[in-house]
Amino acid sequence: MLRLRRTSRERLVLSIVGIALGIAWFFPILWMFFSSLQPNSELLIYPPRIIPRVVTLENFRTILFSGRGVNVGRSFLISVFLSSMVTAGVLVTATPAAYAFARLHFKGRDVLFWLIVATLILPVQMFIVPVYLLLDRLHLLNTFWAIILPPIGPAFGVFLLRQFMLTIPDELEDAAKIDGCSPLRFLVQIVAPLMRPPLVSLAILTFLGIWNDLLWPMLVIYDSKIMPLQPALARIRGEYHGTFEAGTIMAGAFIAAIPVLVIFVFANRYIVKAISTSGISR
Amino acid sequence: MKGTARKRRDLTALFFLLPYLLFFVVFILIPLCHGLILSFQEWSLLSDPVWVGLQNYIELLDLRRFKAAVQNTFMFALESVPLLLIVPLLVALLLNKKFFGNRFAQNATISPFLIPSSSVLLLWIWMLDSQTGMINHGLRALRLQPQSWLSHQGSAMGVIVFVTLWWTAGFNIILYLSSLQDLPPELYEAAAVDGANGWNQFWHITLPLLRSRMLFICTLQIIGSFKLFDQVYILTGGGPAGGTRTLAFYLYETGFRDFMFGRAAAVSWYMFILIGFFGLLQAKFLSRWLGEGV
Repeated sequence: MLRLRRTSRERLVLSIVGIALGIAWFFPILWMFFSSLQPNSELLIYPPRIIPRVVTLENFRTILFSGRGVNVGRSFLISVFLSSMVTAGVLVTATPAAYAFARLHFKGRDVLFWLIVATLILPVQMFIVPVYLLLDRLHLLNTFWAIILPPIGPAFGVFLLRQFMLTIPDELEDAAKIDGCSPLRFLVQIVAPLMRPPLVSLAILTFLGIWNDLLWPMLVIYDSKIMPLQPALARIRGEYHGTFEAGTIMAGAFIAAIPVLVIFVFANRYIVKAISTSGISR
Repeated sequence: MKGTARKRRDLTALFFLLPYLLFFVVFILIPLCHGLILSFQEWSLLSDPVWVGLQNYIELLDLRRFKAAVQNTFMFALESVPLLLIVPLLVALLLNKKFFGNRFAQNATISPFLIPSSSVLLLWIWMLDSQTGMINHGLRALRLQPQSWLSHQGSAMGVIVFVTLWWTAGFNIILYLSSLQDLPPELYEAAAVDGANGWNQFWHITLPLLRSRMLFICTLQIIGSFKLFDQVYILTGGGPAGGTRTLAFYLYETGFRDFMFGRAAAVSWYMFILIGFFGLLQAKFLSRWLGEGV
């Protein structure tokens, strides 16, 4: 009885601390949303109105359709397209490579694999200048290729998938071989379905990585018509800050935040799994 | 017969490897070699590259800006790594308990790390605005002195650390939570039978079992410190007075504002050396602390 009362009091305290922490942590995002709904002049008033007195969608209209210099709506679509293309590229190239490293026996396999994986410890900064110059020479700067092609190079996907494929039992492959199944068919029809969890993880991590990248697209795309969301947003500060249009800036920031927040609410479990399997150290 | 079988086997492997290897060679291997060569050359857009030996590396050691950038990067790591190691652990310990509102607290603390950097940073510029920002409004309400957070040398780096913590803690919270959920409950039951209180359980069971996870986070965080760019670029532009210019930002300025590609390549190799040095240092000291806890 006494013990029961103690645990329920403990839970009450935990609830209060947890909810307070949640509110404090979430407040800036809430304020981003409420700012974006208010006319810019309302945001200059002291004391500030956290709950909007006047609600308007004007800021969203401005930023999406009549954007000065940058068009956030178009940049949003460009980012969806580019992130999807890179994700597809990584999955299509890394899966067969991982399969070869995990299941096929060929000369120099392990040396080649560790050579490739060793490059993962190199910081990305080492590639920025030479890849930029390479793309310049190939005349691919300021095109979508400059964003789609280079991220397929890093070995992270190959490594992640290979580690998982090693856990698929040999007997499965032997059985398939006896039934006259070619390696390619084995990969597509038998391995791929088993590989759903790591493939989903890799897809999520790749997509988010490209969606959230700022430096690289900023360097290789200079035409605002084909600019992805991140560098486009970095620019809207210059367009709207001096004129005290905080609500408009927040509308832009909110538009960029909304898809990932929605995805997080629905695919929470997958994202958490993707992150915790990528931290393979345990 | 055996030879042709082997040849066929190697060909099959090549068929599977070729698409990826193509990208690996073009976007990893060749740039890596080219970057090394570049670092021994002097090259701006105007002239052809000239071989200058170690000149870039030696010059950098004398440049005040480069030394300040190394120092700023270290300062950021020194302030942010412990915070990003401890705060997410505390939050994860809380979230690992059952209570009403747990789901909300989890979503609120984890979700920010998914938001793109520019969106997060525009939000914090607005929050920290010296005139109309929420933070200063709050300070005024408490009768405290409002600050111009981002243009003050004393506070700019602190703000970057704080925003980074708010933004990226969720990632580490996920890593901690997944480890905490894997801990064997029998250990805690046994400890409770022996009369160990919550603190003792944490100190003698939870913490030792989390060691390898903490080491992993620590490594990620140190590498992350060297990559610090977005926050500097959007929040401060390296200012005030170069006080927040990090190595990654310096590399960007050298390569893409001043177009000194050779020197920028040399900066990136210095970054590699520094990260490698930390990696070795960590392996040496922390592996002992890690002990049998792996």
